[in-house]
Amino acid sequence: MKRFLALLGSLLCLCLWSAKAQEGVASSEPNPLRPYTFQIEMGQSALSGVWLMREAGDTIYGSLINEFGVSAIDFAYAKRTERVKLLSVVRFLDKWYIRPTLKKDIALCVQLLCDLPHKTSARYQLSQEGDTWVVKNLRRRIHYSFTPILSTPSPHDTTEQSL
Amino acid sequence: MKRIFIALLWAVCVAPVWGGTPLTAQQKQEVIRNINRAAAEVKSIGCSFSQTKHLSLLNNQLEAKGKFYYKQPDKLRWEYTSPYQYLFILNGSKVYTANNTRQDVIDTNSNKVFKEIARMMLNSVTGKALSSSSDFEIDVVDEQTKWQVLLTPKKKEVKSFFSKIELYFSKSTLVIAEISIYEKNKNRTHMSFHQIATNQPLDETLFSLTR
Repeated sequence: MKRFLALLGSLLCLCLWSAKAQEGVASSEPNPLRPYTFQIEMGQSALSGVWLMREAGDTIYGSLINEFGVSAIDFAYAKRTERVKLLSVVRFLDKWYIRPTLKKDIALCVQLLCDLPHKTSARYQLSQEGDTWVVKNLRRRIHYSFTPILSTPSPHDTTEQSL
Repeated sequence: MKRIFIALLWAVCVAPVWGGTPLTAQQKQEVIRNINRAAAEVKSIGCSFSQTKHLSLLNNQLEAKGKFYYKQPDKLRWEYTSPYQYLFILNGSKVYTANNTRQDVIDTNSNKVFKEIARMMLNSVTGKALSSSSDFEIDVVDEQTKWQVLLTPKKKEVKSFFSKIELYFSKSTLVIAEISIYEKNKNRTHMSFHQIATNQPLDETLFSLTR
């Protein structure tokens, strides 16, 4: 009986640890959410919505959602390697010839918005108009613009915190 | 000790699922008929809404507010006022979107995805989605003060965005009260509608395709 209870306790601990490991960002992390409205323009097409980021250790996690709350892109930026991993991409952008460009562009945008060192390149044009940051991928003719969403920060950063 | 353990195991594994009461097939059909009947009588809707987006990756949520208007048969205005400004107008086959920097008019006849989205939005808020058996698998649950209608998409275009949609209809008015949208990446969006006014005159300029 004692051995059985010990085994059950171990299994329970394993389940809890596993569930915790699957979380993108630990709920106890005190780092605030960084919200921006964004617009990505490619020729006549555009994608707009809210760009959200949160730091967790050496990684910056981000989500791009449209105004209706539909997810477009989830990503993780590793500060050490300065590379982006695309965790999920909406179907119309999830193409083999689009993903590499998205990764590089998102990496640069994260570096800019999080005040991280970034390399200058003739492929990109960076500018700021008031509060709005603009990143232009001159080669692919993609324009990104970001405007911070101002909000009153919550005093306690709990698992579910309002923006 | 052994008895206590077995009782606990039973409670975890076998205990009844908390939540709504499932209905028989006949009861479901009757609820759907009643909602459809009520929807046919609704000529217009005006209300405010609040939207909460739960982000599983960031373990956080984003809240937004706005106003919603609907006019039979095919006019819809979805306006976000906080924390961002965004306007979505559906008027017949045309969609108008606008934010602080850009405005677009899209003809849904030439854009299949937009056509599906527009149709789904109209059908969801009016309850007509319940009759779209070719679009969704439909289930109905009694949630005490509300009817919960669970829509599981069948079409590939919609499936790529959503894994399921829950519509909540007030039992007293049979008008949509809440919508929950679940995505494949474990994100979900919940919308609640407040101060709902039905069959009030609505200014046509609300659905104008220009600012």
